Amino acid sequence: MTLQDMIEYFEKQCGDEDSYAVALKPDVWRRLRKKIVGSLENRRDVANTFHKGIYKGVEVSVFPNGRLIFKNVPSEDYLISILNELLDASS
Amino acid sequence: MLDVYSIRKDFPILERKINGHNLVYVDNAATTHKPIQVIEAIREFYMKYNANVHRGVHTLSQEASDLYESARVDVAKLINADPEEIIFVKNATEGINLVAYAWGLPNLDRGDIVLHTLMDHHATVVPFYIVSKYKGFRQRMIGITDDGYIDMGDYEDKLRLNPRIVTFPHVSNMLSTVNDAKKLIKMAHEYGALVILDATQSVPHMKVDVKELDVDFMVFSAHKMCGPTGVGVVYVKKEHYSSMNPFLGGGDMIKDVGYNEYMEPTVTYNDVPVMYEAGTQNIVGISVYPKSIEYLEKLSFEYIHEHVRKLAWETYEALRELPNIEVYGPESSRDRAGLVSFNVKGFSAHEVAAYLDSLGIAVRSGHHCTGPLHKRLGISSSARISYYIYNTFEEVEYIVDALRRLVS
Repeated sequence: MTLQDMIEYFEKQCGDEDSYAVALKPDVWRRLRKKIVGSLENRRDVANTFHKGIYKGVEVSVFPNGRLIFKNVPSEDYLISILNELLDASS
Repeated sequence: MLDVYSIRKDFPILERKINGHNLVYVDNAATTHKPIQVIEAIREFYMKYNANVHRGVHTLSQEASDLYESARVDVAKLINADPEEIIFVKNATEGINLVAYAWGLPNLDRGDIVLHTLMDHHATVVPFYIVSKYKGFRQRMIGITDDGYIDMGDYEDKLRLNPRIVTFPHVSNMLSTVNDAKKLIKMAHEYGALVILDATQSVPHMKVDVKELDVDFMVFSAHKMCGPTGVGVVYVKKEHYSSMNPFLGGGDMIKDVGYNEYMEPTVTYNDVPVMYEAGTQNIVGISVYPKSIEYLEKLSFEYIHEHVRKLAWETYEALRELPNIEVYGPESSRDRAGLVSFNVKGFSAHEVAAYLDSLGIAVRSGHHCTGPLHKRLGISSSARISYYIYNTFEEVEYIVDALRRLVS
């Protein structure tokens, strides 16, 4: 599956130019949930609801409905490259 | 008092589950939900009255025209205006653009000043910015105080520059500040400036009387008050029509288009306000808008304002008690409307919104189209809770509990 097949929406966040929201398609989320959460460094659980950590130098919050917020992203290209890796997407 | 539990039955969308939780919709400053009465009226219009308006001889067109024009009468009554002072556009943003172009192009020139406030929405600043590139006038912004009010000293100082026109929001869509519109308008008039009042966050919540305010131009939209999307309103004080040119050209806004002996086109504009309504409008949206007005008037704007203000004040007070939360805007309940903007230390506004969404709570995050205000506050974004007629105190408790868990 390509990244496009796996993602429901991908949006730069209003006001925070280096922040992106990514929503995974439900089947992708069900399949990759454990892997995504397990890939985070310095992982912590927040309010028993979501996980926060670092992936390849980027801050990531992983929410239980398959939404991911990426903060301090150096560039959109970089985010796409790490998403490809995190989701095992084919090019 | 509002019977909120009975009101909620009129809003089918509130029965939805979001992420396994009951929907708690508190993004009403962005748009409100529609009661079944409005949804049914849209259906009924398409089923029974659908036709293009004005200059149609056939019965359907005349019925549709009657509904469209009676909407103008109802909207005029809502704000105590005359029907010919009401122009329908697609949203409040287009309304400001209309004033910036129709009044600004013929009246503003190099050396003139347009005043905005730091709490203005981008929709009031940017249209004049674009027109200024054609006409060479300058824009200046009035500061705000640390506690979220327009800085009256700065306002008076900038009025001494003799601006031609002043814009400000009646209610700040971020700070929740209810500005003293009457006083601000009176001061502007004393210095010879006209005023555009952005009433998008006030008309849905409180009785606004254009004659009492003596405002020159005012904009608001239907979709923030249970009406359809795609309907904005511009109020123009009658006397200003004589100094305005048409904004958009096309069908309906003309009486006649022909050509002269040199084969040049000749155009005779229609009468106001239709002269400002080019092309086919959102006929169904405009015609149905009175249903939402009727719905809200039955509830009483006095009670609506009181209800949302109480919900927001309870939220404001509860959030101020929580550690690591910064809440914005006035500290006096008297000067606040029905919304609360805040940030949580250690989380971005978008993380807060995504966290709340996972619990079924819909809030907005971002700069809320108030970039200068966020810059003034030293932040890039904020999360915003905004209430309306169907929100409950139980929902306030649920939201505050969720945020309490986040900060602990």
